[in-house]
Amino acid sequence: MKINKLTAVGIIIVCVMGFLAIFAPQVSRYDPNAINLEKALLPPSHEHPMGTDSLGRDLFARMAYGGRISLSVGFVAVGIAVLIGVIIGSIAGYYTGWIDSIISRFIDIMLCFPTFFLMLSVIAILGPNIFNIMVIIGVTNWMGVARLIRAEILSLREREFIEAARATGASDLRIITRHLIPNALGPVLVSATLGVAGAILLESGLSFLGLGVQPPTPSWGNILTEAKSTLGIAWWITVFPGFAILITVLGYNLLGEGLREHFNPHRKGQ
Amino acid sequence: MALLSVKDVKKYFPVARGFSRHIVGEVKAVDGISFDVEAGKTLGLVGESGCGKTTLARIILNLLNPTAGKISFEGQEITGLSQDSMRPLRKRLQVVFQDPYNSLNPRMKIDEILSEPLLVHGIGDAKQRRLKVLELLSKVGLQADHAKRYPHQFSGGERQRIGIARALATDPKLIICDEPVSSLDLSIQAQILKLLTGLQKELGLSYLFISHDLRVIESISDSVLVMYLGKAFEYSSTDELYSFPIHPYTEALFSAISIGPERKKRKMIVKGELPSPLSPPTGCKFNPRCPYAEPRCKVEEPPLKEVKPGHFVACPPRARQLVK
Repeated sequence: MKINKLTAVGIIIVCVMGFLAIFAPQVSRYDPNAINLEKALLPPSHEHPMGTDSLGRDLFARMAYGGRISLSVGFVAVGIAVLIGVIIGSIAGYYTGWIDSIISRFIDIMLCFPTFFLMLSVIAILGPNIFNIMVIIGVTNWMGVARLIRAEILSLREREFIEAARATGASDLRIITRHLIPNALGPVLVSATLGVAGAILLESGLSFLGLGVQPPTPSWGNILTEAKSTLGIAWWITVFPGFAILITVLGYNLLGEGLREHFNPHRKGQ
Repeated sequence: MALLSVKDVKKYFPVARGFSRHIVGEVKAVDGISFDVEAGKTLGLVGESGCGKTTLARIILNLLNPTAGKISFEGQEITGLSQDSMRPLRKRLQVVFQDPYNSLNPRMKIDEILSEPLLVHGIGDAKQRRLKVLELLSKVGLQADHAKRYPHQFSGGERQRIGIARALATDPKLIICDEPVSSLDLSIQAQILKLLTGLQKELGLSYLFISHDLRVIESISDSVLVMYLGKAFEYSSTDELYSFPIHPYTEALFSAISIGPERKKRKMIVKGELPSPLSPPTGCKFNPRCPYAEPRCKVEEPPLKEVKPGHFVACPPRARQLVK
């Protein structure tokens, strides 16, 4: 498989960010929540590579641990969205007829909601914690996946190997799970990769508004919030999390584009 | 009693047009076809593309409900059976498809493809299924190490062998072969046909063999049914049909491929195109293209009539000529 340069950059970014998040305790020398007021607002130095925040906490440690939160919110939320989307989309695509009409109209209705405000109000009711954030991002972002899967399955179900499975006596569940979904997953993988980037942005946005991950647990979004008050005197507290979000989202988008290119049927056989 | 008996089966597809999807007509894909397939025998079904051969196959497999008519398999009527009550019968009624590139799931390994029918019907445990897969592979002339490969690693002929192996997995009595060799090279065609006849002898299989190629049909069938636009035109044993074709359409088919008794005679060229099944001609569906057409052919649709013992033809003018 040939990988173009941009995709390679994406893969590297995704891997490095993943590595830093997974090995956060090993790569950071400090406890992310250890307050040391004597060392507040130190600029980046050898001792604190990204400086410290207004409570004297090591910013690099907070960034690494915050990456854990942000990335896991991204993955779990997209996982939930893909799961819901695949189930609903494959039912619509396989059964067609009135079942498909009802599901498709329901998807249209869901797409009409301004998702961000829907999330804000639900979080306001249920309370902001990391679990709620994951679930809410998941259940408000499955529609794209559902449409993709539905379209793929609509075309796959006319293929002869599906007919063959029916002639064998395979049940609907078996045909959907063993024959249709595995063949429809390519585009979903692409959309899921791009979705991770979107979910990280959503989580940062919610945390920035104070409705996401609650302090003192670090996440890239709430580090940014806390940086607001010291923006004039400590640039590093804003720049590093902002840059981390930018780079990670860019990485997942590049990877997603690369995968899209890879699954493009017109490139097959080249 | 025949293994498979098809009685006056019809399938009309409604044709909807416009925004309101109102019904503007119907396509008579299969229009009153009857035949029997005896145990251990092969019936060839021949006709041009679009004449309803595949629709008929799908009806027999209960993948499509007929508009009218009755189909019985092993004496049991299968028309209108639910998928659940059909399942036990599917073990003994299998199918091989035309396009070997399309009929195998590209994401399943060969052993998964071959053991799926066993899983669906709950035959054997994991070890027995593995042995059965190996047995099936050797039966169709493939090697044991092919089991762990994916379909795209095989050639068209090898894939068709896999398709045949899948059909054999549940030890069927009847296999419907829907143009199994039409998409293969001539040399591969011969190999697959040899494999099919060999398996028939070895396992006592019956085939319903669908093809548009009279040469292929001749080499494998015991009897032949000629179809045109959903209608049966001629039905007899293979030897009889290939020595004395009676229906003008059959004659035309023979003359087009230069085999059969027409070989040395003048070429009979059929006029015009296959009519649209949406607006078929009145009367005999072949009349606009037929050199023997009489005025009444435009009015009356002739039924299939026995003109010689075991030889049925739906063409009164030719039948009369024969008597003279």
